[in-house]
Amino acid sequence: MRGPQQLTADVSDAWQRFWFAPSDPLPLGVMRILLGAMLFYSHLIWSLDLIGFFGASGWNNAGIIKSLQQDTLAWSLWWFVPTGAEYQFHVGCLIVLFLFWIGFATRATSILAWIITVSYAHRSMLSNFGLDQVNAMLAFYLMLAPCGARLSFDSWWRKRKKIAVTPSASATLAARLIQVHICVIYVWAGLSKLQGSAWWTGDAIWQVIANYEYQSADLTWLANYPTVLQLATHGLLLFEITFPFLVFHRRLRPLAFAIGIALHLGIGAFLGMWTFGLIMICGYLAFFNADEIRSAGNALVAFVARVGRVQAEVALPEEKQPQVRNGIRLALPAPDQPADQELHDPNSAPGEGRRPIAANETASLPQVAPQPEWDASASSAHVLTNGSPRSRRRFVADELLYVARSKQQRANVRAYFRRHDMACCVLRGAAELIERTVNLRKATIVLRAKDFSRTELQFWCDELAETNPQGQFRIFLLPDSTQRNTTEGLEVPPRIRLFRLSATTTLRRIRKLYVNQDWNATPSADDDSIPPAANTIRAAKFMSWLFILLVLTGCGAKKNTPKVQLERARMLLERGQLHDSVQAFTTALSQANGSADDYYDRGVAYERLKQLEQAAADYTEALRLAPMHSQALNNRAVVLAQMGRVEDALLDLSQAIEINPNDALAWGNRGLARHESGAFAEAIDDYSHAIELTQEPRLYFQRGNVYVDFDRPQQAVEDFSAAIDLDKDFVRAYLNRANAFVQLGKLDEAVADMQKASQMDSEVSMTGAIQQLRQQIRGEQWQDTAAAGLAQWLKTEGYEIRPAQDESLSPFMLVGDSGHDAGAACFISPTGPRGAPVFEVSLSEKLVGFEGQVALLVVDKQELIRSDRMPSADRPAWLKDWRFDWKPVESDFVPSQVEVLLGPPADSLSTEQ
Amino acid sequence: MHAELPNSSWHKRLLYVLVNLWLVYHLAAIMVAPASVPPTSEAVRSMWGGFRHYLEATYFNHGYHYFAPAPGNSTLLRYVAQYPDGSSTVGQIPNRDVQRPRLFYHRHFMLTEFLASLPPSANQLRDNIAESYGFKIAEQLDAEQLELSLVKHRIVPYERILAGGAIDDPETYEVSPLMVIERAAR
Repeated sequence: MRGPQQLTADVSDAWQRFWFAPSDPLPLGVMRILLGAMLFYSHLIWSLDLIGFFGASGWNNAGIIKSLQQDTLAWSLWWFVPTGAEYQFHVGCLIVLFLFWIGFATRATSILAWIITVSYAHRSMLSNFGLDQVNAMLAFYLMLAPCGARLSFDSWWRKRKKIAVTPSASATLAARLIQVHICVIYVWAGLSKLQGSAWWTGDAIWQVIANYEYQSADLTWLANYPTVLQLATHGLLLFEITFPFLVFHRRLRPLAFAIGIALHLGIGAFLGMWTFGLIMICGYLAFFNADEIRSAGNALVAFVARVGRVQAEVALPEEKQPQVRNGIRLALPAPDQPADQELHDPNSAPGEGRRPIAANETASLPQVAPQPEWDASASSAHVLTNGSPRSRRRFVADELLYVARSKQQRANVRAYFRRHDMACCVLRGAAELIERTVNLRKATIVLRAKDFSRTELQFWCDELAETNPQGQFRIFLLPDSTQRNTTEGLEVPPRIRLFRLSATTTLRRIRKLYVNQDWNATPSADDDSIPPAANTIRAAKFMSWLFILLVLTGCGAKKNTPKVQLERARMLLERGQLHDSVQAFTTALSQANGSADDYYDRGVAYERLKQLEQAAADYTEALRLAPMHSQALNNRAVVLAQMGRVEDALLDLSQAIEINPNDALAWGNRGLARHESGAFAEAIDDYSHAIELTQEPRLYFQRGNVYVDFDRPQQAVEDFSAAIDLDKDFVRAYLNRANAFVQLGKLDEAVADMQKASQMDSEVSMTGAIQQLRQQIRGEQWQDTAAAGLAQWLKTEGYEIRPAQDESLSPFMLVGDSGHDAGAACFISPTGPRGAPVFEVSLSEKLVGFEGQVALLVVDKQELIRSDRMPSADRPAWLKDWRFDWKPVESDFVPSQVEVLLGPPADSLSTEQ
Repeated sequence: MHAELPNSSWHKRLLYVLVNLWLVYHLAAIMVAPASVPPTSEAVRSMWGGFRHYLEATYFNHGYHYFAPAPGNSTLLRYVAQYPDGSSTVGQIPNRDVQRPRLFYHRHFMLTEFLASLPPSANQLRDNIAESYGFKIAEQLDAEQLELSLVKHRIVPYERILAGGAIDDPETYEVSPLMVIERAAR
């Protein structure tokens, strides 16, 4: 049992190894290239509207950004860029990013790249998204590491100077931090989704692909496969939450990468966010070590070369280090070599026979390494791949020796490798092994830890080295179930390499390690290396087939289900096809039990059809199914009020308020109902309550109406003004305020409001503004007092009061119009050019001495074009000849009618102040 | 492989200790950042205070709530621009036909999505931002007046597609007038 001291030491050691074990910075070099390209591109895009996004009054308004970043440590170099120098600064940043991309002075440019990235991100915070977050994250971590040590201008320069690249602890630190940060991103992306119901109901993926603004490829055909969508939703959630467990588990890692790559490529292809998808995939590189990157690079190069039939010699970065050389060289066969020609592996052991190798199958053959020291480059291409598309059989250039003391185990191993058509020498013990390896140049040896103590292992390694001073050996050590580390402290020459595999390593894994061998791989304490990229591709293929299978088999949606019919009914309701909507609702509800919302929506359709009884019945049914459905209560109250059952409506609204005291709609509606029932004071209270909850112009307007009826025009004007302040286009508020102004005797303000209303809304002008203005000028409230006197005066003056065509044409107010006999009251004629611009109005001398108000209306097609009131100061002149300039938009405009109306003097009004 | 412990000199040891301290602090910070996005506990909120400035300065203050808690509706900004000569144009932000390449479109899309991400209590801020967008559009178009509307593009359920609808049916756009901007008023 381990003591606390040992435990502490173990934990400390594990921490040390995890974060600081030196590693080759090659993966970070690849990441730098990809990130540099992304940074350069994503910043280059700003150039399309640099001032627009970074100018003081641009999209990211400087004042707003500063107020949002107040009391934070968000910083940006952009705040120091003077106006007019934006492009110079931007070009400078692009140059730095380019240098970072190619790896020039990377130590400095990596830091500058991060500063630039954060500066742009902080300054343009209103237009940022996940791309900027991941860009800045990767730039930050690469800044900490020697990301320019490989695949860079710097590395080329060092190579010229013969400066070696050594494994770096900071490279490991940066890679590990990226790994952890990516895990944090995935886990929180998943956990935050747990708050949303759509991720539980399985609708979320549909909601993503049905978002038109994100969509870059139409996937709505997937609506036919809701099961696939739901499984994808649950699968994605599961993937994000479990990502750390998947990615740090050697066997599950390919699955994690396959799903992750598919996810991010999907984000790019279908949501148009290629940049975000690719930079996330770039982050995955942190999970690979240098050997795996090289292997993947080689495979990629070989694949490209094979596809293109390119005859070339392609080399991945080769570092001439004093002791360790990691370069791998691949060469394609010469085209003139016959396809069936057999080559022989020069590295095959004497006496073991020569292994046939097809000439067109592989890269260059490895060179024999005669020197006693290990030379990686000389033995780099042992895996000889069959180029034939039909055959994936592989031949290797070294011997595979498997030592197993158990007879059963030996039989299993022998059978397994025979089944895979591979030679494997199965041995009973270490003594046989030494004997066997005496003459071998190279060999891969598999040992089981439980068969050897550490001392034994050291002994046999020494024996191996002594009996074969030139051989190169790679030992795969399978630990026992206790995972004890028998390799710890072993001292072996560099030509003997020890790989400690995990306890769960299978024969298949050993075979793959052997076949896909990379003799340059650095032995690690625990073999946590990633399985080849082929596994990731295989996992992706598996998922694709699974998807196709799901699509093809039994996941199709039926199109005539009640749910589809209900959705169709809602669609028709929104489109205003009310009868069809009601019919679709009725059909669907006859096939399945409907929800409260279904009955509610049908109630809305009935209500709009003015079928109030049915509407009330549906709302009642909705309330039976969901008694707390406050919207149904509201709507039923409105319907009941329309049916004249105001008391019932009040009960419903009171209940709705009881259910939700913060329901402003219910408060407002109850105010309306109380207004209709004549309870003005209570109505005002309800509206006031609603206004406290929400500052809606409609509520101010309705309370203003109550004030009008409550004979409080001053408060009414204030409410209408508040409504207009909130909504400058509230035409009815202007009209009603004009009415309230009339009550206050402020006709100038009233006419101004009327004019404003008529300018804003021709529909209202036609039906309401003229009539209201006429009524106000006519002064309905004057009829009892001053108007009666006016009528009497007109009669005394000999006016024949014509019968009104409608209510608006008051017989005692209309004294003349363009169609009327001139002798009666006035003569109006267009006298300007083309008969339009100037009107001359002559009034009867009978009007001399008239002290009341005079108004002129210019009307075209029942629409009020202009109204003027004659100022009293001009009255004498006006009596003879009233001319005013008319400046219509169209020069040939001729109004259909011009009317002159008379009203009592303004001071004759009796208004309540 | 074992890392070499920096036991050669005191300053290397000190550096090693400092790096480890920073590492622990940094790991805690990047985990607290997303955890502190509401709704969260008082404990995490208090922890946020200890990491806030570090996270803000390093631009790690993110929640990573991608498409969470649920993929929401899109928000657009529609405008009617009036010109001094009486003519007018209608447009919208974002507009994929105008803003290309895709990343440029996405930058504009995020402008309107930022408006939608503001809580209802931040009405004044939303109006200020929308107004700044409005002035920007007016300036870009050299318009005299701009009427702005906020458009919510509702996401339809898949049953609607099966019922014959489409994700961009006109009735799926809900338009709310936002404000009128007089360019001369600035």
